[in-house]
Amino acid sequence: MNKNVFILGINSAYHEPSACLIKDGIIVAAVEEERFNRIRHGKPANILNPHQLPEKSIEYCLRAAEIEAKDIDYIGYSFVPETRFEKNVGIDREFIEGSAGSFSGEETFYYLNKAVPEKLSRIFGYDVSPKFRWITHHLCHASSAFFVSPFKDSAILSADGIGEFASIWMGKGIDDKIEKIKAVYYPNSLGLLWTKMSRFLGFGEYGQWKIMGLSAYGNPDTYYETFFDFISFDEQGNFSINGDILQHRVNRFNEFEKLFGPFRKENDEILEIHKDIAAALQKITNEAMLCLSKYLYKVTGSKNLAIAGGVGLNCVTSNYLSENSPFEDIYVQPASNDAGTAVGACYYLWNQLLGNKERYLQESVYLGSEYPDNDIESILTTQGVEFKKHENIYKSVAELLENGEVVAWFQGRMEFGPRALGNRSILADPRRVELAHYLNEKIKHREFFRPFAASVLEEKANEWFKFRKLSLSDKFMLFSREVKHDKIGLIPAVTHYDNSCRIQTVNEKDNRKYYKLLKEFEKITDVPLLLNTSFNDSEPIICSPQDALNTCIKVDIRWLAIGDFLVDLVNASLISLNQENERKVKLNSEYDYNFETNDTQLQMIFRSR
Amino acid sequence: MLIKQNKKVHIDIGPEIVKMYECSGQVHSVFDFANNNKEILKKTEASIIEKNLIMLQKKESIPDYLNKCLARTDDLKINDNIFELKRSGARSAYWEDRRIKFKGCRPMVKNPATFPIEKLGFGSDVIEYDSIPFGILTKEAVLREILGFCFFKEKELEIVHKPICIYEYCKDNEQVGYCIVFETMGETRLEQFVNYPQLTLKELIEIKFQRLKTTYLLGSELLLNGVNVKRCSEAKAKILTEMHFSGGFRGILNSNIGNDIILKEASFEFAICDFDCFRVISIPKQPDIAFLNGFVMYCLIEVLKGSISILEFYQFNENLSLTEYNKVLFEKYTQTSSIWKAYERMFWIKAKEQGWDISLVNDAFENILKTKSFFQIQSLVIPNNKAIDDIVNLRNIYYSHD
Repeated sequence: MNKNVFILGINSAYHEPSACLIKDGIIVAAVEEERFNRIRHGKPANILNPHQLPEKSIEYCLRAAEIEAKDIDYIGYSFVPETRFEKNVGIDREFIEGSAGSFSGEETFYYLNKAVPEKLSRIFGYDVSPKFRWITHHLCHASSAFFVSPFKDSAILSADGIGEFASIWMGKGIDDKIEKIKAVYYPNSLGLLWTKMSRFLGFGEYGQWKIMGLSAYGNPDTYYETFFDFISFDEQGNFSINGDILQHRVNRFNEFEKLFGPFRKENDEILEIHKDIAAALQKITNEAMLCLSKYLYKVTGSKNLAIAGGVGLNCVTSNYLSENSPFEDIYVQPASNDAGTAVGACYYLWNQLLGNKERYLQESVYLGSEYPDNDIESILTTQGVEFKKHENIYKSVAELLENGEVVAWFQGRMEFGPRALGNRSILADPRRVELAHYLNEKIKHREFFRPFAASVLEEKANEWFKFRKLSLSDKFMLFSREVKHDKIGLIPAVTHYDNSCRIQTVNEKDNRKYYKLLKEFEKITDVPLLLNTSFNDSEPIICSPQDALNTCIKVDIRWLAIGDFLVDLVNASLISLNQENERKVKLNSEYDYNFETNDTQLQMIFRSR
Repeated sequence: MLIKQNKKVHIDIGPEIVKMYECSGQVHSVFDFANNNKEILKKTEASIIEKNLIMLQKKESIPDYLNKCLARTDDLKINDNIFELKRSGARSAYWEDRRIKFKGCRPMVKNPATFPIEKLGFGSDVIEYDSIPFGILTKEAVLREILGFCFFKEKELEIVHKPICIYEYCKDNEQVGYCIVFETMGETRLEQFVNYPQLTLKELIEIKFQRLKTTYLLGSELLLNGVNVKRCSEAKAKILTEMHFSGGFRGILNSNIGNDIILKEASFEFAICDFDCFRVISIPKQPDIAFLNGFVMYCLIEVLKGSISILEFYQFNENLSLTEYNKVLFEKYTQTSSIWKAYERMFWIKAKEQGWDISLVNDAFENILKTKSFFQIQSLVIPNNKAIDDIVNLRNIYYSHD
């Protein structure tokens, strides 16, 4: 009998550290470190921490595959230090000495990345270098888009802030091979433009979602032409930004202020000007991506487009391409952020380097931790909360939702990627607009303009939303679709200002329990949708039952449907959250990560297996 | 449970298509009418009309087809010429082809009727109940409509109704009421889209307490078929805050979203109308608490009354102070109303832009919650047992209309 081939993919160079493990070409597990260390995006993207590996994620992957570290055959790391080092020096007119863009900063980043195999060897307890492969960042993004897509052949578009030096990668994939056609390099970066704009608009480093939501409120034409003072693109695959105006590597906005007026401080009011800038940025992004896709269509001759990279998470742009590009079908990698490069690293090795012809189709993101009912029952009992087992929990939950209750929904394996898709979700009735206000203000603590997504029965999606063709990636909440005119007023809690709604299509095969819940809700209300927002509050999406309880108590969510148990937390606020954390009840489950580890502890864990 | 759908209304609003008769009276140009009568308004209001006279239509601009008095009743008819128009509310008519609206064109000389109204003086805490002749406008009401138009033009706010002329209905050479004729950019009212459950108060209470299985969303705003509530709320809040912070108020409106107009072909998509009770107050640079009490009350009652209805009956199970009653209802309203959410955000932006003392504005909000009049207005939006008790005990009349 042939030995199974195990490939571990790791992303760690910048942010969103993650791990993915595939067995004979099939994903066994994929998780982001942020879910375990409870730090948003896992760690800040900076030159001092590429060697801080997603240790808990790696450990989880090994446990899920029931293997030891020594059983891994290949390790793919989604970054090539040499490709970045000297290219990033001397580009920016302004930079901070010792930081990215300076020689010393780039040198530090280079050596800390180069130290990754050694760090991993230390953790695993053996020399991993023979198994270790460096794979460029965008090759990993591109692989995560194409190799797991439903396409035999496809154009590939990967766009993010920066890989090693490239920010946009264009190529094509056929069967088990991908190849580059063209790339765009720093500082010509759509992703970094959004990062800078996010800071300029007072939303911080990771406010791109906020800009996307706000853009619906603004007039896209007010500042559209202004962007062309420093940006250009065409249908020949070119995209450029004047780096002196972008000022990416310094925290200054003097050049932007000449074009857009004074920058907004974090707590300043959102004014019309901010809405208009956001709208123009969204329009520019749509148009730029459309131009690049037209170029790819021309040079590849494929009718399919596979997308990855952070820009791929712009659901407004993805829908724009879906409705306006010449491509017939589009697949977007559900973890298009840097976390997804761990998946790409695995498949670049499996298909491209190892030459395996078999392709894996990624139809699901339920690739993370799972907690059996007896473990859940144990922790609920220990916590002293009121709960009851329900054979058909979806029926009870549907009734609660119909009565206007907000329900936290924790089921099965945790999702991989930034979207909660019905296993770590907070749910509400989409007909009740006041619940959208309530969720934004009291639970999620978000701005008024942030829209809510909807989960919809796959077979009913075309009755409620407009689209040229439903994509497989609609399962992953990656397209913002237009609500059909006659339905607009019926689901105000999930209808955005521009009549759009980010949707997740749900079928029975992918998520049986969630599908049944939607069916039950439809039976009561004639509405086959639910408002679905991620189960968290200004923190990473929750991972464990303990996280679920903590979050519910913190933000005062009364109902938690966890496994087959319905928990009524009406009196749970009496329990001190701190006491909860201090108790840290050890689960019987092997998937309990509610403890702090350091390198030494991890070495012991890995070696003892 | 079967809900009875037949409703009694106090006033017969008439059939969908109404007959229009040529009748006795005079046709005035807007310019002349405003210029000759503006002094019956307050000085500040008259000066707004004076400054904007140039915007008003003169006699020679009145089209021939309007240069004769037209009315929905035959009480004053002078010949047998009749033509048919669409009904618009209980007292108006709409000439759809020409986009002409006749407001107050139902003189009821043979069977006069009155219509109840509520008034609240600026800075006052007492709602006054009064009645006005039904079917027509008074001279002051016409002037206030013109004032609203001038005010909106002066502040560069969007307005859909442009006054064209005024009919002064006469019987035996005595004036019996006025009608103002508008050219309008659209007459599609937001309330037309309400997914209205048509519940009586009794039925609402039954649903609430018997927990009957219905498809009604108790505690929620009514749904609006085909209308994006976020978009409308933002648009309405923007107009109202601009208007209020420039000193303009429409008072206690009869209808909540019946005066909101949705437009399809204009450069803007939302507008408000109904200015027959419009008044303008002067806004001081640094208002004191007395002014702010009045200002906040005026803002709140207009927004409250102009909000999408909340399908709710609130049951107070204990005796509370007036302030506590108000707080409970206001919390429910502010948590639920989309228009309030948008308005509140813009209100504070405006207040800060004006450089007002924010702590004083907050105090004014607190003070409003101590007033009986605010409870009365809130009870119109969220029916409750306390308000019904007051009615039963004849202490007050809150539910004066349907």
